[in-house]
Amino acid sequence: MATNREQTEPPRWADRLLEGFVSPYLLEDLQGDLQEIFYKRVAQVGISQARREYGWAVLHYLNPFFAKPHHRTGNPAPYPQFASLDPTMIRNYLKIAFRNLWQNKAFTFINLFGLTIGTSCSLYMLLFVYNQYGYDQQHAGAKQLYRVSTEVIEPGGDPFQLAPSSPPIAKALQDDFGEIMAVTRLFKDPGKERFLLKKGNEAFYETKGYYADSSFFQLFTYQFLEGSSQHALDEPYTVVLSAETAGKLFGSHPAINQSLLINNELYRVTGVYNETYGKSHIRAHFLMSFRAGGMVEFLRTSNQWVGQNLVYTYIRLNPKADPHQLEAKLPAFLLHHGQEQLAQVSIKKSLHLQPVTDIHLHSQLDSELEKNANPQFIRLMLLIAGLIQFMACINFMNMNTARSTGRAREVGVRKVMGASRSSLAGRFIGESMLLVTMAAVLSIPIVWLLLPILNGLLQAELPVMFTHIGPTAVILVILILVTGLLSSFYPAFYLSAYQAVNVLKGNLRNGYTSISLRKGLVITQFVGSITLLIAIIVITQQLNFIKTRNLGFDQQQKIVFTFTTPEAQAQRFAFTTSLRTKLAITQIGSAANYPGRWVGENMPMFYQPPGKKAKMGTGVWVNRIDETFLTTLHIPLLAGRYLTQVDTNRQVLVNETTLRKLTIPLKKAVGSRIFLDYQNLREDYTIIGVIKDFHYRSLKEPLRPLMVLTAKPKQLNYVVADIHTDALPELMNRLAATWQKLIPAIPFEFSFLDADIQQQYEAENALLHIINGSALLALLIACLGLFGLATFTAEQRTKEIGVRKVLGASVSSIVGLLSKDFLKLVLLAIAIASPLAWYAMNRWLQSFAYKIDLEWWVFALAGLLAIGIALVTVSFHSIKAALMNPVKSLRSE
Amino acid sequence: MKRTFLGEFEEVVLLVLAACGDEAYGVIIWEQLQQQTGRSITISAVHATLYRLEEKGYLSSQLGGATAERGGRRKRFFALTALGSKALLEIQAMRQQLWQAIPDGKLQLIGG
Repeated sequence: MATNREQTEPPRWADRLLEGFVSPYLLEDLQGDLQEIFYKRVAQVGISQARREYGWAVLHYLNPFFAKPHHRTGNPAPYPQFASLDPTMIRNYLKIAFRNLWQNKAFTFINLFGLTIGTSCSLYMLLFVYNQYGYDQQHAGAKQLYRVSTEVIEPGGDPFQLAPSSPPIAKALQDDFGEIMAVTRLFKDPGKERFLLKKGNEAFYETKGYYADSSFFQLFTYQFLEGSSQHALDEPYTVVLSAETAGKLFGSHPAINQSLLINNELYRVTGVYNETYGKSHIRAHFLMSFRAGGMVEFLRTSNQWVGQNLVYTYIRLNPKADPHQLEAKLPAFLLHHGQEQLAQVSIKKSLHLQPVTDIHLHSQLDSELEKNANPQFIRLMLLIAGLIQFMACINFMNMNTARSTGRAREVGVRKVMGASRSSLAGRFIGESMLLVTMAAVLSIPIVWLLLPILNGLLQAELPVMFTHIGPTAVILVILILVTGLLSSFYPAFYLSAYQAVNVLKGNLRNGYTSISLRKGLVITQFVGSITLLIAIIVITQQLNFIKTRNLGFDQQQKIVFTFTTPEAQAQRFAFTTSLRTKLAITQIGSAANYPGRWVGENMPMFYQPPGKKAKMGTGVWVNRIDETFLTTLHIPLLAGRYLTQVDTNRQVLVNETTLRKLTIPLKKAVGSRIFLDYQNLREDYTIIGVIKDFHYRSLKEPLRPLMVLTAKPKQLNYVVADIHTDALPELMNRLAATWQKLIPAIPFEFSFLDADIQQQYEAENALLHIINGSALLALLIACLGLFGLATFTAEQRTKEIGVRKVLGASVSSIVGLLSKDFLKLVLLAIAIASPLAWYAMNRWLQSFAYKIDLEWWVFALAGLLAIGIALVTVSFHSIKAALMNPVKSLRSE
Repeated sequence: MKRTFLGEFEEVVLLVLAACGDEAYGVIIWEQLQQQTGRSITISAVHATLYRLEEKGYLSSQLGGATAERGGRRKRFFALTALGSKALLEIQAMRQQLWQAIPDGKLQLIGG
């Protein structure tokens, strides 16, 4: 509550402001006048209006005119308290700072260059990291949203966590627990990565089409541009489009209530949402009603509690409910509903709750909707950004001390004139702030220009930073302050401590502490650079290893065609038949999944030895193929035979690993009976052949059991063709023409098998790009630093070198003498960096099931590179110093 | 010494001050200014101009005795110096001259 005093007097903040800002020689009559007006206004317009006017009037005094001390006739101006803060002095400082920068163009350039690189690098990385935060915050009551994830423990296998769960769980959760206010399910069809969207003559493939329960928008807040979220997905065959998708289909015309074909089924548009409103781990391009027949309808009404972990279940909790308490009740809940089903299979399963707002940043489960942020990657980015910026700071420090001989005289003169140490230190800080600010300003256009390239390398969707002006500005200001303070801290205290008398007499001594500090800083720089160098070599080696490793099949010169729509599938046979007539195409095979794009089904499989009970189980990946698929990929047979056209889908091939897991000897394999537990139904299969192990999934995973069987024609989504031709463009043109003739409604698209396989290593490639770039920058900055330090040393030892030369030392001995010091630093840096890099790279390699060994020569190579680069940098100055005429350097004595 | 230049606002302030009695201080001058010119002026502009004119030597100022009503703060009374009077007179003379240089009848056309 306002006190009486506050009610009758001018606002206190305004008075404080005035007293703090206005020159004391003016304050009394200014304030007197203001208060006189104030009390007059109180009588006229009332207290609150008068107070507002007073505050407003005070703000007008905040200009330099009122702050500077005024000379009055009769009373000479006393000596101002803070002469160094006088505008005239500040102008002088700026002038001197610019002159200093201008005079030492080489130093300014090196510093500015290093700082600009560092700041650009940090700015991009910090923007990248910033962009990973704040996901799913836009939903109303986002804190109460949870996803139900599944943990599966297979017999004899490691437990693994899946993001999706079984279909009936959502409904039952809502029925059983009062604290759950709403539930919804989202389904991403693993068999349909792309959907064909068609409207009139427009037809194109679109990814990220998901099916959602009608309650979806009760949990998730979407900004609707057309229609409303209220009942958007209530009716069967309705679809909600993102603005971008709607634009592709309908242009600028309204989309609402229009119809379109999605994979040849008629849907009605009930809404268009703004996909740029908020960031979400669900980045759907369009959302279809869960009531859409076929497989979707089957899932929607499924009562499978253990398997079919295919739908993403989300719940909204009562704000007062405790998610931990609810999670604790889930095992009993699962048992209550699915006891029978759980008992039948030897799989154990449990449910967990994940806060939706944490998913993007912290969730790394199997079958995530999107590739989520990798926290390790984010930490690495921050570390590298900090490292590079720090290295640029170190340079700045070292450069400043290296220049100290020249600057010392200025310090001496200023001290004699009465400058205090603090004002000198302030000046150094200000000077570096000036340079850092210049670097920051330069970094803005650099990052802006490089943004598309960097985003391409990192597969990042970083929006242009001008849509992020606030955060960009905050990041830059923080960078300027931290870098400016850090880089000027040392020179500010080091240089300002000079004794004026000694400086002017010419006694300049550099204490041992400053020299060893500088050396320490150089070592730090090189430790960073060498570690990054080693990382480059190791990551490149590992990626090469992956690229060249024999995957167990032939991935060269294979083209993949996609047939996901019924329309296309109807023509698949005709298309493959026409492919066979092309001379360049030797083999063609079709399958539901192929290496590089292997979603597939993972099921529990069991083996029942004759006369015994079935107990051996293993998880197995299942692929449905035609009879030529395995031979097209050149996958060798170890026993039995390949599939033929007459085989039923009960006759299967398995890989070696399956036999090992089920402990079936190879000799007895053919004819053995195995069975799958498929939705509580035991399905028996007979092994008719064993194929050699091949890597059908990424090399990050160990080889798992595989079973292949004959597919129904509509399950064959992909056709792989083995081509042998030099005239690829011509062949592709002919194929496109054939496709156009057969399936005109669907765009002709294809991919290369080896490229698809490489796509699995996107994250590793991005990492390599980051490390590559930053190692280059780090090394560059470290060398700039070394260059500066070499300048300093050469300058310091000019006289020593002169004496040595007069006494007959050779040029080479002097170069050696000067280089030796730096070599020692680099060697020490190698010694420190090697174990560091070994530890880091070893940890990284652990993420691969198949990996290279770390070899000693990697470290030697990185070390030699560093030494070489350092020597080249230093030799410029050592040679210059060694060649100098001793007469020149000794004359001043 | 080069001729000191007087801005339009400075000139008006000087004139108002000249018109005031002995006890001219910030608030009075401000009120008079607004009344005489019909403009809305901030008090800070008046203060800045007064001090600037003082620096230039057109004005002198003196602190009055303590008063109770302005929080015990003293008033600063401004007075025209000889230089100030001279500057005003010179301006008037120059204006006069310029007015006389206007041919007869021209002003009617302008609408005066």
